[in-house]
Amino acid sequence: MMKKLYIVLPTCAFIFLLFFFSCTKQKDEGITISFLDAEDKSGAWAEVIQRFEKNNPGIHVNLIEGPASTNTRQSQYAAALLAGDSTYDLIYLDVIWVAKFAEAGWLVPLNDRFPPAMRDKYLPGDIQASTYDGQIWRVPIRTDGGMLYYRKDLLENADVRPPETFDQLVSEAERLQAPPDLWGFVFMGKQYEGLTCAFLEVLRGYGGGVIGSNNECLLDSPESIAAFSWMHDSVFKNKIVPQAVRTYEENETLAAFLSGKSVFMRNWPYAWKVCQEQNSAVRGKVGIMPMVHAPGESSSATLGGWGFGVSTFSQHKEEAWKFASYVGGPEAQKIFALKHGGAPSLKSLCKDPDLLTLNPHYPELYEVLLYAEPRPVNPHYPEISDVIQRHVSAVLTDTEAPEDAAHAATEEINVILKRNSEKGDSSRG
Amino acid sequence: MTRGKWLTYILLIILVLFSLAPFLWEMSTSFKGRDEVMQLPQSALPQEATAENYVGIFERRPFGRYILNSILVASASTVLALLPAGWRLIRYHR
Amino acid sequence: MTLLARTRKFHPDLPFLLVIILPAVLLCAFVFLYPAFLAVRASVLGGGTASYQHYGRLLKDSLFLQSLAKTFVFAGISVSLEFVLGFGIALLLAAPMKGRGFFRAALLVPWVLPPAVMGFAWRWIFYEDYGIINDILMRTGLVAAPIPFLADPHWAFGTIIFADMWKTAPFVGVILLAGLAVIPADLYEAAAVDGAGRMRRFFLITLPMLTPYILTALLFRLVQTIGIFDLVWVLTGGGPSSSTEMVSLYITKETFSFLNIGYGAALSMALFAIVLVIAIIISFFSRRRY
Repeated sequence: MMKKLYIVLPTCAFIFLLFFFSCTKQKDEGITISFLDAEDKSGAWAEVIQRFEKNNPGIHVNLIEGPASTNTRQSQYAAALLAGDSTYDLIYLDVIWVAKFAEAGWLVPLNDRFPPAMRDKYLPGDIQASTYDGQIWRVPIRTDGGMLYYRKDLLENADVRPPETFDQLVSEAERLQAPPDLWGFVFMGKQYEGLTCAFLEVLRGYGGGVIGSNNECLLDSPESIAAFSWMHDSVFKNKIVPQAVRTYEENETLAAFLSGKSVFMRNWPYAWKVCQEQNSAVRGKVGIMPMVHAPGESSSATLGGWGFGVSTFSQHKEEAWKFASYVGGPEAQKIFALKHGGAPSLKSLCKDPDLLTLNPHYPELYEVLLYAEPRPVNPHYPEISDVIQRHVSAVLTDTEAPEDAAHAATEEINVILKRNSEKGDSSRG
Repeated sequence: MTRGKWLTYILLIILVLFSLAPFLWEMSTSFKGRDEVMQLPQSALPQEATAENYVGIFERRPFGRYILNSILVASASTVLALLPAGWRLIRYHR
Repeated sequence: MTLLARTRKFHPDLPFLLVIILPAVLLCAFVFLYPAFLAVRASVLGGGTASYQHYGRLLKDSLFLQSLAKTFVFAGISVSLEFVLGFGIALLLAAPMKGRGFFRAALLVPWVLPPAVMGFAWRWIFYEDYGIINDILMRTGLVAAPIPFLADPHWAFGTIIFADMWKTAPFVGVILLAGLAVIPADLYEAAAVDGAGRMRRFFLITLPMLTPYILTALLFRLVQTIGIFDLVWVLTGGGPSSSTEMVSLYITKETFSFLNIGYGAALSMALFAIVLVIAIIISFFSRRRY
């Protein structure tokens, strides 16, 4: 027995030591606050963090880089917060997560730290999307609204004016495209949140809506069926959209447009900067405008955007708020707009001369963003969005007819709304 | 070699190529620069081989730490799993 | 009698054995049993008061049932293909030959590589715009337009099956190879002397003697395939029009995206029950052989 102990005990000791050393956290001089976002390709975060740390010695900010897909990052946040984990002090919130995370009690209410006077400085749509149940939960940092990009050079060569209606978009795309090397229109068609954003612009551009004032679903209206049909026809009847869009998220859509494979693209404002970069094949040939709409209706941009919420489980809430309010301020937002592209949330920056040189379309973008419509603000939005994603994807793959998709989606969303009608359902849109 | 043996070797080589092809393709892609990766037609070997991707993963992420984590987890769980089996071997096949 | 002496009565080494597996058992209890217990608890208490509403709901949840159907179809086809290919690998490697070690190692590479990593690799390979497969197919003129491997519901399903089969056939092959190795050669000789042809020898000797190995591999593979997640999540994320939404993806969505923890836990319990039934059925067949 004793001889075996010579083998067993050291082995067990070795294992426990392994665990012990891998579990100990590094000793900090000062406080570290962490949050999760996608890879910092542009270096914007690096610069913002560096400036903040210089002015706030003793506080380190740690950006944990996660996957590009927003769905996956949301799962990562959810997994940590479900466990009451304090890994993330700040939560970099997509606009659609606010209601859900607030409802789950994961966010610190910011009404005191973020008074109405301060809120006025930000775009109204952003503030509205950051509010739920009478409280504000998020400091908006970047705002997004879907825009239509087009190849100025191709349109000018054919002596065509940029389209304003859905029909014009279709006819111009049909005229200018030359598949398979050049397609008419690309957008994010994969079955994920981005598809809902793109679809809502078509839906609202036809004058439809998702949820009415009586908390019932509006997706079986004629406008909605028109929207579903337009999506379907763009792939199968007019054939201006390649089937490959069904695998596209933001990066793939942009890649297709960047390499000159599409005449039109629906994407977020950040794409503008990437198009104008040195190695872009479409540099200087890109125009940007609000999304098309049906005659008589107005164009719609789905509101996107990101901001900081403070985690209830954070052990350094004060320092976290310091960083959050710094990034919400003009200096940091300008750095983001310059380096990363996209639009800042502060109204004042939309007229900033430096940003205007880089983005001459800012005044127009500003108008679009002022009226950008948030997705339904509802703690059960992820489920609602999932229903929309399913049926739009079914329509895009020709597995469901547009009318059936509209009716089925309405039924399913009504079930969700009924099942969950309790307090705080300030659903709109 | 008999005909049977020839056939066996040929089939095996086809299978090996089938098994290794994605991995080899990935290795080739890892040495291609950003632009080359997205061009058509694709070439089997990189035209302008670059190590920028390998440098990049260590620069942009704490990849060394990730590797260490994997080694720790793999070693610990392997040792733990093998302990009962190892006991039997030590005991009965000395 | 002391406790130690009593345990010694069962087996002289029992106390030592218990000490050895103690760390592993503790870890299992902590990492597996405790969360499993919490999950069962959540599935019943999810609504605040103890209720079985979640279980009632999941029986009527058509999306859940559809994902189960997709998973079973996927498992059925994928596992069958794996066995065919794995069996082929085993037969090829059974006879001693030069370079056998190299072949065996090379053929095991797919099994060894992490599924998530291979998922990304396949996504890149099957990509419609820059993927190498479409590139080759177009250049050789075999197809006129790129095949929507991941963009079409049916193609995407097939692509997932292909990627899974590629990865796991070697595993099946290795298990069956071990089985082939223990069949005594004189059985074949005796049968040949008695006039049995190759087919009869295969069905009367090889298959019956391989049965325990086949059942072992089948058990492993079925259970693992039903729970498949990494590969599908990375390749399609649920697929165009939910065509590749396997059960595990559906449960993940309910739990982490919708935050319906109680319902997600109930779904997990249901899946666990199904897998348990399958495992019991297969074990039942294995036992009879012995």
